[in-house]
Amino acid sequence: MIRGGWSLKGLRLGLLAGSMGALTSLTGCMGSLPQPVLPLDRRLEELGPSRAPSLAGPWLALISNRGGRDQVVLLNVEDQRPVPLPGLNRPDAQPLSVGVEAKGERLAVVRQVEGRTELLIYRRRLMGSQLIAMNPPGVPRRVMLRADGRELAVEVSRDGHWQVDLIEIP
Amino acid sequence: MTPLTLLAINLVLVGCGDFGLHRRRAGPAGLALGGQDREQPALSGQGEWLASVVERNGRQSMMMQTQPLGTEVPLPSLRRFEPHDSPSLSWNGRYVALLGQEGGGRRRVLILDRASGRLLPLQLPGDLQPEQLSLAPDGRRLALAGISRGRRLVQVFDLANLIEPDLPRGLAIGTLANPTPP
Repeated sequence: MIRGGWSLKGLRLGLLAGSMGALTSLTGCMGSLPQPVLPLDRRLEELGPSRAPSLAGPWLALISNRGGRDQVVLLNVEDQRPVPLPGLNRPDAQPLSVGVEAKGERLAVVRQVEGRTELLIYRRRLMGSQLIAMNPPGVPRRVMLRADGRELAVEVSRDGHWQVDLIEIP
Repeated sequence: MTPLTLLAINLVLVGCGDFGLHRRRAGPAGLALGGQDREQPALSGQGEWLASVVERNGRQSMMMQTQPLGTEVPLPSLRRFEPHDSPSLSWNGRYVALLGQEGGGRRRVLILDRASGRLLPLQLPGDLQPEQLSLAPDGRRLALAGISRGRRLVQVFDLANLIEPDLPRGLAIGTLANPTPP
């Protein structure tokens, strides 16, 4: 009888271990659960509809729609604060893609202005942009800036095909 | 730097041409892809690796190449999740994050650790349907853009408990704050 008592306890423990194992296997099938960065997500909610994120170092660059107008936003992930980008968001421009480097000093942006699509590098310290022409000619679409900021990769429509150009940044 | 100096530099910069920039087309080395599309480029932090999406056997497939040689490195564990979308690489190309698709057509966020070969599918909380992603170069965070309840939004996730950091060469694991290459 004593053995029976122990068996019952053992059975319970076995069932518990079995359920936990099954749960672990199920979680494994479903995938790992990443934790949302909640204060940041709340700040992003406040920004309005957003797209085209680029993460590097403590920086998150994205395109958000405020008051019906798309604009490039740069946030510090640590304190959730947007930083000013004077001269970048022109009222007549529609940003399509943005990339940021780990230092957060330079951004690469593809935007449409007056019917043309252009690629530019924006430097925060200088509050200025440098246009980068497509050579051979083509229409840029999606851009990413290498985390060390020394090169960008851009998707270019050229001769009816999408190609990738790599351009060093001086 | 005085405001006047800044203004002067600004005026010179804006509209300044880019003559002399070193540029090249990322050739589809290793595959006979002449005339085919190549999209969604992602460089590793210091440019040793380039991921992009090409069409293979009628499906969008991520291609991982060394730079500048263009040697392709096959990643067979990702093949069953084609079509692929939106690849993103960590500093040394150790982690590849991308959107893939399961048999039922459901989109998954995947992280491949090339050092261990481990493939980590992420289970997203809520009902976000991911369309684009960006992996922080150190692998600590992941930003996802997608649609949730009819609204277009970006969400950021902390991966610190799931994968170890991939830092630039010369920085020890455990180095905190804004890693930039030496």
